[in-house]
Amino acid sequence: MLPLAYTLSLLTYVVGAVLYGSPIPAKFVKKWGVLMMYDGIASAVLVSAYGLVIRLGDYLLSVVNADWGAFTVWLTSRTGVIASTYLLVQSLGAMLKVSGAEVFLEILKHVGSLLATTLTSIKTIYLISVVVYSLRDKILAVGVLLYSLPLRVGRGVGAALVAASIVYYIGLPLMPAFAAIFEAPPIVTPSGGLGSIRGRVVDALGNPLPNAVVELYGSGSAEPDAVVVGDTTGAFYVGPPYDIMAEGTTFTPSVVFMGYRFTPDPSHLEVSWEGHLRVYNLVYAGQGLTLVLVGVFYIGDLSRVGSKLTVPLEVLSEAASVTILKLSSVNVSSVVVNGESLECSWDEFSWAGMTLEECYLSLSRGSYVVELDYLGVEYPRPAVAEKRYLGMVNLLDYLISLQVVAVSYVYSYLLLPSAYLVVLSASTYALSKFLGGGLRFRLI
Amino acid sequence: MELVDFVRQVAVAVTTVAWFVFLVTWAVGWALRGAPLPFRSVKRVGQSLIEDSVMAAFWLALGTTIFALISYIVSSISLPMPPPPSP
Repeated sequence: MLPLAYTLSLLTYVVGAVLYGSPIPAKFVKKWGVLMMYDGIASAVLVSAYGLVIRLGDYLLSVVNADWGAFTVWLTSRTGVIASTYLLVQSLGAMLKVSGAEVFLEILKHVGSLLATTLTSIKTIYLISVVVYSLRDKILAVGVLLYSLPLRVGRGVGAALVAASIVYYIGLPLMPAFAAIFEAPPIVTPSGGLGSIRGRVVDALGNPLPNAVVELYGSGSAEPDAVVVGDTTGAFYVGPPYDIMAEGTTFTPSVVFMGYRFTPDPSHLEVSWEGHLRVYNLVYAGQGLTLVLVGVFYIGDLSRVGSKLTVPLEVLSEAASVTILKLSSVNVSSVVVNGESLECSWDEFSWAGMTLEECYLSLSRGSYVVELDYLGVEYPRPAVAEKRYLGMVNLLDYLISLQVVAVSYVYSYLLLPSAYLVVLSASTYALSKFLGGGLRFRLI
Repeated sequence: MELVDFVRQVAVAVTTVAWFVFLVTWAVGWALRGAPLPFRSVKRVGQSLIEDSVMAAFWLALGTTIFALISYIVSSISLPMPPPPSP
């Protein structure tokens, strides 16, 4: 390309000389001749300076202490920050959709569109920088070639290309420095701020309570803020994506099992929490039968042989009671306490779609061995409506902070780079003017 | 590159033509200047044609020499194209 440009400038010069020396006594022909000779020399100088211009760019970069590697890292880190925030917004949107808080989706949509715009702008800058960085020498060569075309055909475009390849190559890596001046507040990425409560409901002996209902009460509320039903191993989960709970919110848990309500240990849960919810006055014997203990007890390990369950008990308080609680479909054939067979009067009640029966035993201080012979069934999942938690105030605050962050992203990553690109374009225009182009199609 | 050769040939042809054109201009100039026409303007045009042809010949000679010299130096050094900057 460069030899061609050089030969073209020679041609321009020679044609100019012919016009200058032609026997046509017209002024404008002579003027054109002189102009073309000048152009030929100018473009020949530019062609010869090709290598010099390339090296000059690198030299100037090193003088202003900027380099393309650092610029690429800067750009990539910005892209990463925005992409992660965008993903956060997306997942938050999915959570809100599941939780049914569609009102907030509008705000979130707005935040998402701001972030998408910013991401597009960053991508544009990335594209421009890649083009400038990888094609700079070719752009310069094409510019020189256009510049050297005879009769000033491509002079404006050529000068603009040459100027752009110089200005953008030096200017783009300075963008971080430019942004650092105007980017006053350090932008923090919201790190979620949401937490969860995850645990397992166990009885006094540490055995899991299947399908236990866990209710979470906020401070001072009579109605539970969240109701979840655990699985068959006692595990339950409250948190994203079903529940929106801010970190640090405290709840008072309550466990409902077979129609009875218990206060478990610990009695307060702070988001995020993970652990065991232990119900101390309950022993789940398995197969739909439970012992509810009221009083101070020491309970030995349950032993079970065939259909026979043996529970060693020691009552440490003056008076205590044991309630045998079973599903009505569980068939208890005998209740033996310390070798004495007891006739239980089963009181029936229904709760959450199941029929249950209870038998009340009153005990005084002493050691007991309770033997039960029964044939049971698996404890089913109670028909309790789950209730999902939405921390409205927290969520609104969070969304607003997210919006502020998104707007600051728009400022830092869309407005600032755009302003900088405008500055670069103005410099390019000025330089191309200096080179004789000025982006105008000039005919003399 | 064929295009380069073509442009070079054109330039050489134009140069050849240029010398003839200068000669013609010079002759026409002297013819106008020496013509038995009692008009000052004709004489002046002839004078300027002579001057222009001489100046153009001078600049053409100088220019082609310099261009040729640069080509010669470049080809004798055979400066390779600078490699693209590597990331």
